[in-house]
Amino acid sequence: MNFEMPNFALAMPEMFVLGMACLILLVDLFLNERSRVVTYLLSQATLVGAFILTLSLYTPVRELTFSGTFVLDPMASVLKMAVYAVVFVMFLYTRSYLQARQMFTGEFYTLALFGVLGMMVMISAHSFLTLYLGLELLSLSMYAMVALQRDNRVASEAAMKYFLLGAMASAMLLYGMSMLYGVTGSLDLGEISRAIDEGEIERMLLVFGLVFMLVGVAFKLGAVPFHMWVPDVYHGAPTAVTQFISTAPKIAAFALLIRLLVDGLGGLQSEWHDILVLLAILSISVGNIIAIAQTNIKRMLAYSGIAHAGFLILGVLSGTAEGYAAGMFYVIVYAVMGLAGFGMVLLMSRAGFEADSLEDYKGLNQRNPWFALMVLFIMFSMAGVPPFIGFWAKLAVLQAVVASGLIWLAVLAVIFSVIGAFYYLRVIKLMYFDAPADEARIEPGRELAAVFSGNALVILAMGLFPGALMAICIQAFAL
Amino acid sequence: MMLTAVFAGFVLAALAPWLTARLGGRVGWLFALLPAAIFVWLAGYIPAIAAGESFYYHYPWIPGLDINLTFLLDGLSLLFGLLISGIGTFIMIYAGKYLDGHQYQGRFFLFLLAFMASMLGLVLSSNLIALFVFWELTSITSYMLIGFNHEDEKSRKSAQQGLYVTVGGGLALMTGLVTLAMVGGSYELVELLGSSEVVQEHALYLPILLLILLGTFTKSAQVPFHFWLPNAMAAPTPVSAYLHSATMVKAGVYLMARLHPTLGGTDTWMIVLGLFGAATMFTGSLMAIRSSGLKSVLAYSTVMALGTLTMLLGVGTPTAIAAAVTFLLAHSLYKGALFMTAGNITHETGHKDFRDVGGLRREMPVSTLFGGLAALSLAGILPFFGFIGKELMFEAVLEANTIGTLITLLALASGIMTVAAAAIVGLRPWFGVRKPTKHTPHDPPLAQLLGPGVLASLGLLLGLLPFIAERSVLSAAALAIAGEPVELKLSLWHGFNLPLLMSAISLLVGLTIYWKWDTVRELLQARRFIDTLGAERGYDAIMRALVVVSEWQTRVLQNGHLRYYILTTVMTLFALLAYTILTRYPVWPGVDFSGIELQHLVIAVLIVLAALVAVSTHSRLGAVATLGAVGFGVALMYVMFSAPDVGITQVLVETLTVILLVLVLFRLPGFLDLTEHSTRLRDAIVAVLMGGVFTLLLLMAIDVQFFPSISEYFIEHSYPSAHGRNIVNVILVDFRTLDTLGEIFVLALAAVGVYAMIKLRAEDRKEGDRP
Amino acid sequence: MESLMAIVVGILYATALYMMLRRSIIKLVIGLILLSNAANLLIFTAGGMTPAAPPLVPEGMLQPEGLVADPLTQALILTAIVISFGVLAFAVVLIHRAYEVVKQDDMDMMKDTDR
Repeated sequence: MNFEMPNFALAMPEMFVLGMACLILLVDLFLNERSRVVTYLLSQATLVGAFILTLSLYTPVRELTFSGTFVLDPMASVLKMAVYAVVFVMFLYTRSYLQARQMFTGEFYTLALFGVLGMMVMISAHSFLTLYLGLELLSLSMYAMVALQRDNRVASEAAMKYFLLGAMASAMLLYGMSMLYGVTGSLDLGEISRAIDEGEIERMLLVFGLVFMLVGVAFKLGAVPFHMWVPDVYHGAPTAVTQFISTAPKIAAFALLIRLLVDGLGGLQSEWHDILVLLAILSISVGNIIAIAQTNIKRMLAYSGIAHAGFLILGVLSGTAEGYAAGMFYVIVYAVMGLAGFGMVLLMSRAGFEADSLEDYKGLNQRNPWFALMVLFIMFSMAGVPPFIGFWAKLAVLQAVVASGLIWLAVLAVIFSVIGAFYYLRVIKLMYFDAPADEARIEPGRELAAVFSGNALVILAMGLFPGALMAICIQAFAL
Repeated sequence: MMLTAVFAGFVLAALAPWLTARLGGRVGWLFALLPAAIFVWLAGYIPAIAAGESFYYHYPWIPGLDINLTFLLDGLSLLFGLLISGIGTFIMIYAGKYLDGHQYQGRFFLFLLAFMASMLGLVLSSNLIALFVFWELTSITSYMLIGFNHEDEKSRKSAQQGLYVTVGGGLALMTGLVTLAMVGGSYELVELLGSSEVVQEHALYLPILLLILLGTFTKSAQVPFHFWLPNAMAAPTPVSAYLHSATMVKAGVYLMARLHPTLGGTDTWMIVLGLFGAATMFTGSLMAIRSSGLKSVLAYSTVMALGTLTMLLGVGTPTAIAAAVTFLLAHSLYKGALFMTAGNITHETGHKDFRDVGGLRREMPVSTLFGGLAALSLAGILPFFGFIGKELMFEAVLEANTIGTLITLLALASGIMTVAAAAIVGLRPWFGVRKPTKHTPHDPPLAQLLGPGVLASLGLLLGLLPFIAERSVLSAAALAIAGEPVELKLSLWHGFNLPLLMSAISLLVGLTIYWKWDTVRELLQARRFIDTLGAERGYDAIMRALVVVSEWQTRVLQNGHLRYYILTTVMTLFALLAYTILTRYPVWPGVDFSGIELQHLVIAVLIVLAALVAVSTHSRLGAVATLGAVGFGVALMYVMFSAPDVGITQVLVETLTVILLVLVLFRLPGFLDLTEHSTRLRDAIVAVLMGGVFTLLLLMAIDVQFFPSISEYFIEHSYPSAHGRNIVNVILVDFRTLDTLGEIFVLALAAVGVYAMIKLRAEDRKEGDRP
Repeated sequence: MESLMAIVVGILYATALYMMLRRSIIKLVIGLILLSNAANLLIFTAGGMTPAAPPLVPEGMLQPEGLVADPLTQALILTAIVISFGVLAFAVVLIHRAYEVVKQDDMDMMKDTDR
C-alpha cells in the first residue's frame, strides 16, 4: 500500500451530488414560496448531471480507489444510473402532490438528494465502513423524510417506529461487521474475501458475524420476519415519500446484499444460502398472503413489496452470475413498477384526499378508461403476467433458481405468486366491474398524468423488449 | 412474413376503436379481411406440409435469456392456424352485425383482434417462453372479452374466476416450461421434440409433467377446473363461439398435443390424461343435459369435447391420435356453427333458455337448416364428419389397454348424453309447438348466417369426402403429434363392428333421453349434490380461507406495537444463532478470569450496577444519573485499556447525552408502569437470553487466535508516512480519511434532520399562534 | 479480563433490550443509550484488551516499542461513539416530536399506522 493520490475522478458523481445538495440547501434559504421551483429544477439538474457523469465514467472493468474502499464496476454504474432515473421520475411525480400539501420545501429535495448520495456510496462501497456510512446516510434521510409532514400523527408515529427499528438493524449490521473485522482483521471486502478463501480462519465466528449482518440487510430489504416497519411506514408516510422509500433504496439494498454476500463473503455461500432460502420463502409467503386482507392500497403495495423482496433474494441465493443478474434485473424492474404503483395513488389523490383505499378504485374504468388501462398494465406486471416487464423479472429469477437445482423452491414461489395474483387481479376487477363509489372527476395535472401514463407504457414497452436491460444486467456480472 | 402474420392482428387491434367509430358495424367485414388473408397464406403451405415438410423461422428477441421469437409451422400448428384464422374470419363478420351499435363495440374488436393474434402466436411459436407469453395474452384478452357485459353481477364474478384460474395455472405452466427447458437443454420446441428420452428418464420428469398439466388443464377446463368455462359463457356470443369452442380452450389441448412427442407415452401420462380426460368428458356431457340455458348446454358439451381430446391424447395410440385430430376438426366446425346459431336465436327472440323457445322453423328456416346440420354432426350421425370422429374415438378407447374398460364405459355414457344434448340443440328450438317470444323472430342477415352456414356445410362435406381433410392437414397434424407417420384411414364406413354398435346404442338411448328430457333434467337438477362436487366450491372455499388466514396473520404479525416488532426481530435473530450453534458448531468457549485486577473489577461491577439501577428506577433523574455512571464507567475502561482518545471522546459525548436527556426528558411525562408482571417477566427472560448470547459470542471471539491485522501496517507507517505519533488519529484523519469524511456527512445529515423537524415545529407554532 | 468484560457486555445488552421492550417512550430512549454503550464496549473487547500500552509513537522513534493496543479498533469505536451520539440526538428529537403530535407516551397507543 502506498500513499498514492486517490483517483478522485471515479467518485466524481458522488462529489457532484454532494456539492449540489449543499448548494441547494444554501440556495433554498433565499427562496420564497413562489420561487421554490428553482430548488426543484436544481435537484432535477443534479440528477441529470450525475447521470451524465456516471455514464461517461462507465468502464467494463473493476476499478478501486481511496485505498480500496471505493469501487467502480459495471454493476455500480448501472445501479447508480437506475437510482438517478428512479428518483428523477419520483420528483416529477410528486411535485404537485407536495405543492398541494405544503410539503414543497427545500428539505424534501435536500434530504432526497442526500439519500441518493447515501445510495451511491452504498453501491460503490468496497469496505464495511463505506457500506455502513452509505447506509446510515440513506437511512437518516429517509427517517427525516417520513416525519416531514407537520401535524401528521400517523407519519410521526411511523417515522419513530421506522427509526427505532432501523437503528436496531443498523446496530446489528455494525455488530456483524465488527465480528468479521475481529476475525479477519480487515474491513476491506476484497481482503475479507481473500482471508476467507485462504481458509485459515475460524469459520464459526465468520458465520455468526454473517447472521448479524444478514439480519441488518434483511431489515433494509424489508424481508420477513424483519418486515414489520414496511407496512406501517409505507402507509404512514406521505405518499410522495412512500414512493421514494419503496423504490430507489431497494436498488441500494440490492447492492448492499451483493457487496456483502458476494464480494465480501462469497466464500461463505454455503452458509448464507440456507438463511436466504428461509428469508425468501417467508417473505414471499407472508407478503402475498397478508396482502389479500388489506383494504388500504398503500399497505397492499407494501406487502407486495415484501413479496417482491423475497423474489429478489431468490435470485441472489442461487449463487451464480445468472442469479445475480436476475436479481439485479428484478430490483430495477421492481423500482419501475413501484414508482407506477404509488404513482397511481398520487394520481388519484387530490388536495385533502388520499386515494389510498381500494374502494377508491371501484369503477375507475367508467370514470377514466385510459387510467384504468394503465393501472391494469401495472397490476398485471406486478402479478407477473406477460407481456409486461414483471413477467420477465419473475422468469429470470425462476430460471436461476431452477438452474441451481432448487425446483421445490421455484414451485413454492410460484404457488405463492398465484396467491399473490389474487389481490392484483382484485384491483382490476374493482376497476372494471364495480360501480364507482366516488363520482368525483379525476383531474391530475397534465404533468402527473403524462408521467404516470409514460411509466405504465414503459412497463409494457420493457415487457415487449426486455432484451436490452437483461443484457446490461448480465454484462454487469460477466466480470 | 411470419412476423407480419402474427403481429398484424395486434396492429389492427390498436386501430380497432378508431375504425369502429368511423365505420360502425360494417367494420366487421373489414376486420375479417385479416384472418381471411392469414387463412389463405397458411393454406399456401398445405401442399408442402402435407408432403411432410415443416418450416422454421427465427427472429432474435432477448438473446441474453436465450429467448427468441421462433416459429414452427408443421401439421399441428397449421391445423390450428387454419382453424383460428378460418373461424376468426366468420366471427369478425358475425360480431360486426351482432354487436352493431353497442357502445363498446370498438373496444370489443380491439380485444377480439388482439386475442386472435395471440392465439396465432401461441400455436405458431417454437420457443417455449414466447409460447407462454402468447398463452397469457390469450388469458388477458379473453378476460377483457368475458367481462364485456360488466353490468351483470354473474359476468363479473365469472370473469374474475376465469382469469384467476387460468393465470394461476399459467404460472405453474411457466415453472414447468422453465424446468423442461433446463432438463431438455433448450427452449426450442424443435430441439425438445427430439429429446424425449432425456426428459422422460430425468428425475424431474414427474414435476415437469404435473406443472405443465396444471397449466393445460386449467386452460382447457379439465375436471376439476371445469367450472370456470360455463361461467364464462356470460360473454357475448361471438366470444363464446370463438374463445370457448374453437380456440382458447383448445390451447391447453394444443400444448398437450405439441409436447406429446417429448412428454407423452409414459404410464403416468397415459393414466393422468386418460382418467382426467374421461372424467371431464363424462362430467361435461352429464352437465350438458342437466342444464337448459342455450349457451350452458353448448358450453358443457364443449367441456365434453375437451375431455375427449385430452383422453385421446392420453391413450396415445395411432388410432387415438387419428381420432384426436379428426374429432378436433369436427368439433371446431360444428361448435362454432352452433354457438353462432344460438346467438342468433337469442338475438331474434330475446330468450336464453331452451325451455322458452320452440317451433321457430317457420320464421327462421335458414337458421334451422344450419343449426340442424351442425347438431347432426355433434350427435355423430352418418354421413357427417362428426360421425367419423366419434367412430374413431370409440375405436381408440376400445384399444386402450391399462384403463381401457373404464374409459370405454365413460365414453359410451357420454356418447349417449351427447346425442341427447345434440337433439336438444338441434331439435328443441326449431320443432314442436311455437312458443311465444319477446320479439318477432326472422332469419338474421347474411353476416350472421354466413359463419354457421359455411361451418355446418363443411361438416357435411368433409363427412362425405373425408380424404380432403386427411390429405391436406390431418395426416400432417397426426404426424406432428405422434412424432411418426400415422395412417388415418378416414372413411365413413368401416363395416359392422363394435364402434358402430356403440354409435347405434348411443343414438337410440340418447334419443330416448331427449324424449324424456324434461323429466331427466328435473331429476338431475334435484340431485343438488352434483353442484357440490365441482371444484367451484373448492375455489370459493379456498378464497374464503385465504382471506381468513390473511386477516389472522395480519393480527398476529402486524399488530402495530413497536415492542412486538422488536421482540420478533430479536427472537428471530436468537433462533438463527441457536440454529447455527446447534447444527454446525457445538462448541463451548473457555472462560478465563485470571489476571483481573481489583480496579477493573470495581469498574465492571459499577457499570453493571448502574445499568441495573437505570432499568429498575422509578425516577427519571435517577435513571439519567445512573446512565451517566454507565457511560463514565465505560470511558474509564477505555482509558485503562490503552485507549485514552476513545475514553476522552466517550466522556464528552456522555456529558452531552446527559445534558440532552435532561433537556428533553423533562418535557416528556414521567415514567409509566404500564405492563403487567407476566409481560415484564417474559421480556426479562428474552433480554437475559439475548444478553447471554452476546456474552457467549464475545467469549468465542476472544478465544480465537489473533490474526495478523492490517493494524500492523498502520502502526508501522503512522510516523514514517503520515508524520503522526498518535496512531488512532492518524488512521482517522489520514489513512481512513474518506470514512471520516463520511462520518461527518452522517452527522451533518442528522443535524439537517433535527433541524428540519425543529424548524417545521417552530413554523407550526407560528401558524398556531395566528387565530 | 476479557471474560469478565464479556459478561458485562451481556448484561448491558440485556438491560438495553429490556428497556426497549417497555411501553413508556422514555424507557425506550434509555434502552437505546445502553445499547450503544454495550455495542462500543463489545467491539473494544473483541479487539483485545491490552492494558497500559496506548498506540502512540514515542518521540524520536519511527515505530512504537513493543506491543501496543490495536489502533484500528479504537478508530472504529471513536467513529461509532460519535455516530451513535448523532443518531441519539436525532432519536430524541424524533421521539419528542412524535410525542408532541400524538400526545401520548404509551407506545401501545401509538398504533395508528395499523388499521
